[in-house]
Amino acid sequence: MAEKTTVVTAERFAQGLTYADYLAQIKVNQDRFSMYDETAAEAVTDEDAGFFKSAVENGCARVLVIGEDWCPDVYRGMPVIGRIAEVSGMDMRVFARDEHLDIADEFLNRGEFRSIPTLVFYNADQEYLCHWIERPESVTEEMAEITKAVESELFGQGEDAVRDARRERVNARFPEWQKDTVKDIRALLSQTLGA
Amino acid sequence: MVSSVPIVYTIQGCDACVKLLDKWNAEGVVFEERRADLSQDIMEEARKYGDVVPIIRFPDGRVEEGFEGGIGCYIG
Repeated sequence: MAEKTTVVTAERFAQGLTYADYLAQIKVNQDRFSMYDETAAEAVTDEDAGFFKSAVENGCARVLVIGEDWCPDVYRGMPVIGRIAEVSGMDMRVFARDEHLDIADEFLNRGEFRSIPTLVFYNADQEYLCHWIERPESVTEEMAEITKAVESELFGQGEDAVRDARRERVNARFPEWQKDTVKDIRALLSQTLGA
Repeated sequence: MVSSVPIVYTIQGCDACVKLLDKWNAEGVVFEERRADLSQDIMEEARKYGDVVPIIRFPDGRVEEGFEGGIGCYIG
C-alpha cells in the first residue's frame, strides 16, 4: 500500500515563521493582533496551560499555522494558538496561505476551501497528529444568529446601520470566542492523544 | 473625490475577486483596483463601504459587495 505523502517535511516546517517573526512582517491589522494577543493571554488559563504542557510531553510537539493577516478569524484565532505555544513550549511555525498553497491544499476545509486559520499538529518526528480549521462550530452558529438578529432589529434602516451594528456585536464576542477556541483545541488534542 | 471609473477593493487569494477581475478584463472594463491586504489605509477605506471583498464603488455612488459565482472574503 502506498504511504501517504505530505509537503510538510521537517525541513519545510522549520522554514515557517515563528509567531514573533510573523507579527513583525504583517502588512495590516497590527492593532487587532495586538488587542487579541492580550485577550488570548486571558483566554488561556493556568489550568489550560497545564493541559497543553502535558500535550507537548505526550507528543504534540509542533503546530503549523496557515493564515493571512487580513482575516478576522486569523487575527482572533492565531493569538490563541500563539499563547498556547508560548505557555506549553510547543514549536509553532506560521505559513502565509497564499505563498504556500501546496500546504493549504493538503488541509482543505470540507475538501474544497482554503479556510484560515488552519492549525496542524505534529509530533517531534513530524508525524501528523490532527488539524483544526477556522473556528469552533458554535462560533459559526452564533455569528449567523447575530446577523439574523441585527437584520431583523434594524430592518429598513439601511445597509450601513446593519453592517456597523453587526460588526460591533460580533467583535464584542471575540474574547469569548477565543475561550471557545481554547476549549475546541483542547478537545481535539484530548481525543487525539487520549489524554 | 469621485472616480470616473469603478473602484474595486480586493485581497490576494480571494476567489470572488479573481473571478470579478477576470470578467471585467475580458469585457474590457476600465477600473481601479485597490488591494486592501497591502495597506492599512486601504483596508480602513474598504471597511467604510462593506464587509466582504470584492467591494465595488461605482462612479454613480452605488456600492456592491461580493461577486456572484465566487466566494468573497470577510474583512470587517
